[in-house]
Amino acid sequence: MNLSNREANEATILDLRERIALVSHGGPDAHRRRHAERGKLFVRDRIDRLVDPGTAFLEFSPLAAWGQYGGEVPAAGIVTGVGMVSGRPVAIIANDATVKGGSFFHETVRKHIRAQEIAEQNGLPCLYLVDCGGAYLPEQDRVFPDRDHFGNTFHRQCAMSAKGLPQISIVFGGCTAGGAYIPALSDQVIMVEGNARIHLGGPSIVKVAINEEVDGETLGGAAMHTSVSGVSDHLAANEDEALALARRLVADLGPAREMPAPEAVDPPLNDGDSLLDIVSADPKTPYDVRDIFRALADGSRFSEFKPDWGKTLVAATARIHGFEIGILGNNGALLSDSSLKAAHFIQMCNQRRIPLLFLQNITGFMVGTEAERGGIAKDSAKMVYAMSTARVPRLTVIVGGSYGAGNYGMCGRGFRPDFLFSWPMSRIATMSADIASNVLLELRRTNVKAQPPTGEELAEIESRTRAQYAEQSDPYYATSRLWDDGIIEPGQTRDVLGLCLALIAARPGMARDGHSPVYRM
Amino acid sequence: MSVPASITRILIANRGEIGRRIVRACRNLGLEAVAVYSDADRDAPFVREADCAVPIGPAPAVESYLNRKRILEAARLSGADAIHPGYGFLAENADFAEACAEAGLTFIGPSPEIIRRMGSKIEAKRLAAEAGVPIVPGYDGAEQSVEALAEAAEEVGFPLLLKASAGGGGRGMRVVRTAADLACEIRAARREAESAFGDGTLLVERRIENGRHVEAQIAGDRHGTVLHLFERDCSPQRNNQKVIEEAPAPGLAPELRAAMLDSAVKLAESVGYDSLGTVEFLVEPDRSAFHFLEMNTRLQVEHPVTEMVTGMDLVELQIRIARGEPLPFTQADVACAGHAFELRIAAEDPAESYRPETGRIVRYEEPEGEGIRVDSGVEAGSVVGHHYDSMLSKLIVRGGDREAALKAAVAALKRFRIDGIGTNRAFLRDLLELPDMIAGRHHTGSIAEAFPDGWQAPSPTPLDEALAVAARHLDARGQINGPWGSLGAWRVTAPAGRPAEAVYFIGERPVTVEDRGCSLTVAADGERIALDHVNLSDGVLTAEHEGLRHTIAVDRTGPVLLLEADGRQVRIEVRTLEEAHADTNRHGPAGGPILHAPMPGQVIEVRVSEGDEVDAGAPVVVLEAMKLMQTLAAPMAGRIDSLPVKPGMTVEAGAVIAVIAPREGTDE
Repeated sequence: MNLSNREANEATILDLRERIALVSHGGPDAHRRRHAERGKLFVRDRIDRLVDPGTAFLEFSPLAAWGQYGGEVPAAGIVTGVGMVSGRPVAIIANDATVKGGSFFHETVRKHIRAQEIAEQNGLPCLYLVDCGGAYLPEQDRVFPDRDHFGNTFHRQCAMSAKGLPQISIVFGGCTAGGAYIPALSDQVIMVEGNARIHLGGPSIVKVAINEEVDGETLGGAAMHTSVSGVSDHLAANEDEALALARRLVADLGPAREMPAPEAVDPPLNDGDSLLDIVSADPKTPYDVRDIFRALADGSRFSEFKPDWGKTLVAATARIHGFEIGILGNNGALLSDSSLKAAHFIQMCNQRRIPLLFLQNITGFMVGTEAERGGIAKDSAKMVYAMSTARVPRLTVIVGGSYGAGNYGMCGRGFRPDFLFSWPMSRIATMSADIASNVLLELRRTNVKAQPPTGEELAEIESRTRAQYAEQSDPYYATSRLWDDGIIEPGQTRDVLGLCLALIAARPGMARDGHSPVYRM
Repeated sequence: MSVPASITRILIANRGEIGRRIVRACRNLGLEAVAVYSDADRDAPFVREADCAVPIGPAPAVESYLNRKRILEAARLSGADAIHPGYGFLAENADFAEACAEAGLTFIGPSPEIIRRMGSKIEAKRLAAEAGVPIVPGYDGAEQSVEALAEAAEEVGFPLLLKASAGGGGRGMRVVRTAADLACEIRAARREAESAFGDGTLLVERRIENGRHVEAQIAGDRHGTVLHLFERDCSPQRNNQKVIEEAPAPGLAPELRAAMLDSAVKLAESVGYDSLGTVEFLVEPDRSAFHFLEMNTRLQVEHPVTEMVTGMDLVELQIRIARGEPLPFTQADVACAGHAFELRIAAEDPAESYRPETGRIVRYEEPEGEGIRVDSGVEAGSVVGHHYDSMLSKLIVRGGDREAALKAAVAALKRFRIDGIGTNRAFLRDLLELPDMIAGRHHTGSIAEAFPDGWQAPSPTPLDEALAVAARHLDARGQINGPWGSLGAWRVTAPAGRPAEAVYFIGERPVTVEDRGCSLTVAADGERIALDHVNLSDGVLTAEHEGLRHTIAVDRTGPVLLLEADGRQVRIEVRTLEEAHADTNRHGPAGGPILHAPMPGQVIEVRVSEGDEVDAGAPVVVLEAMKLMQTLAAPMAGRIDSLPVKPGMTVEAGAVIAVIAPREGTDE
């Protein structure tokens, strides 16, 4: 059994790695060659040089846009994440000009905005590594007009600057139209001589609009903008110099916020690799979520809350990379008692300022007469209330199924957890494909207005439903659409959580008072 | 002089290792030690270890360790009744010795008169000749005309040496190889002697090249007894400064050695020498004869090698003599057993003409073991400045015989760890491994012969560079608290084959480091070096490369790393992105050949003409704009090529004021 778990999970992880390898390569080789020939660094090389050597960079949603646009927009043409620059955490938002010229697709905008949201929530300065041509015009209806489209990125830039979060742009290539506003709305701008351009309209638009013939360098070159227009503050001779300069600008942002230094951290007794044996290859075969706790917690130690009551939900406090955390995990469907236990535990962590971690592997809240008579609807609501209104940071990892109201109770994306990651073996949908096809078949059979269904029709309903659910509950479908902050390997989970918890602990004003009492349920 | 002096409290008019050495001797004798210290030495070990300490002034030696008034005042203040001058500073200053006596203090050394007589090279040579000690053929006459000196030179023969009579330490010394150069060199030597010592009197001496420097240790008491404590060989010298000393001198014929020691005793006896002293000789390259060089009337830096082979404590002996005790042994009691080397560990860069190094010692670990002694003036945390001699410590190693002592010295040197400041350890190690040194055939020219273009640090191999970059990289890891630092260059894409890749620069070459936690791949110029199980802790880098484990001491002082393994030291500068681009950061407007008017205005004055050479920043014109006078300066150095403005002219913003042609070669 363990062997087959491992084999299946290893295959799943190998698949993930192949996909990440593919997207982290960037655009097609011909574009990469042309990019390099202009003396330009690739987007990930820029980030590597920008961040402090030997420190972590937490990248978000590398598989955004996966499986869409014929696979031509790897990583949605943008790399985002949090890294350390000159000793302080910053959000980095970097266009990949080898992917469709770095232009913005729907997912590019989503990813850009999500990184800004994380920056704002964690009080991080933003560094924009700009190399983009604005909206991808064929997709303009999904990029440009709506409240969470391109305009919102600028709104956020202005709002963060007003909030005291520095916005700095380093311009590596052409910034036309919308792209021009990223540097234009930045507090400080660096441009790379020769390659960087900023113009609201490029030479072709200028020609059409006012019949002026002008070349790009004259129109919006780095030297012009740095010495004539003042759109840029610093002229860098090359990309290395621009990145070095950016590091100095960040160093000059005033006293750096100290990253918290947790006391000596014991690694877990079971390392991340043990999870490959633990996690069931077959979603229907249950396993004890405490085994995941053991692989995540420092020293594999955790202290369980109400261990003998409401057993389908396991709640415990533990430390991850030295940071205290309250973990909730599922050992089956949520019943009344396990919902109340969760609500109680969440309130307690809230009172004690302990961030929460939800490990989702949940088919949903219990159904049936007994459950309804027991008041599952109001008890599950108590859990949702407590989770929704908790003032401590919340992290979610979807480790298995994330179905129906279970997704809600366990802090799904809709409840705006501070960070949400998925495992490659997870599934997310209103319900599983099995149940969905059965429900639809049942609806069809009991439809009194229609003719009784033929076997053929039922088979067609079943296969269509199964195909839809199989496709849409796939974690790659989810991550492609920014329903999470990225798919991570089980073995990476502890470190990812540690990085997030450190950012959270370093937030200004984390120690707040005015907490609520704990209601016994 | 034979009246026994009572000594209870000795003021040490010195610093560094010799200060500590004298404190130790005082302890052994149950005496109290008083340190004096300059501002630069306030936290030095010798100050802390003394029973009492007195500040005597600012760091420059003339204001502190050479300031006789302050030192005598310190003696009064501290109630000292004797002064030990150590070596250097006031150790051979007869006036100071006299002043001590006048102040009622016992000067631990010979009488002022002896110091004075031996301090004059001409007088010393005359005394030696009188005592029947062979002297280097030469001229020390009072007639100092160029003609008289030239005539003497003909007799002495070439090559010869012109020396300032009042000089020492190599200053005012010139080698003359042919008669044609003589007159010119005499004038030059005289000028030098006059300016350095205020006395232009010159000596002419035959120049014995590639001879050996051998010196006899003498002890005389105040009861007329003079004994020798055998000899030392101090031949390895660079710029006339001793580097390695040993006792006994290797390869001397017993007769020659006996004659030399006998001469030394005779000379000392002839002047009534009543302290420790050293008579220096030059031994001919074929070891057939020896010549008197000079007599040092003080404790020598290299006295420990004599102590190691004779088992005596020379400083203690010196103090006993000063308080009037007779020598507690006879010549027959003095035996020389085994062999000892002394290596002078100095804060200097032997690859850069022994340029002194300054900085803070961050780690200091002396070798330990049987037969190993370290006399040191520093410790971890010491700050080495530029005010005093660059010698930090002396490593003294004794062995049963010369070969054993030499091997033990090499081994001890490898274990000597000094971080934070460059030292000459690698150079010393190379010296110990010279074939002439191993064979005992070394001479005063050995170093110059072995390193005709100066000693060079070994050039770093690609692996050295990779290790240096790895060390710099690992050092960066510890800078951030919590997982953001402790996880290293963590990347979500790393398992998928896209690890972090940091970049550093060695010179202009970028070097990348692929960081996979405990394994790093360092790549430069297409060559990839894989390092596994890398770890940097407490200044020690360990890494596995191609099946071998490397353990390297990393002395990190900013971007310049000193890597040391097995006593081999390489210096590599590894710069970060910012450091590599620090000089290209344009804080001010970019310099260029054209000076533009920054705003519209009227030219009031033109300060240069076409064809003038100007420096960057030189005023070119004065412009009146917005009722303000503004001087416009040359943006770069060069020649004014074009100057299209005249006084009274009105110019627009951006108008060309001047065009400058760069100087030849300035654009390199």
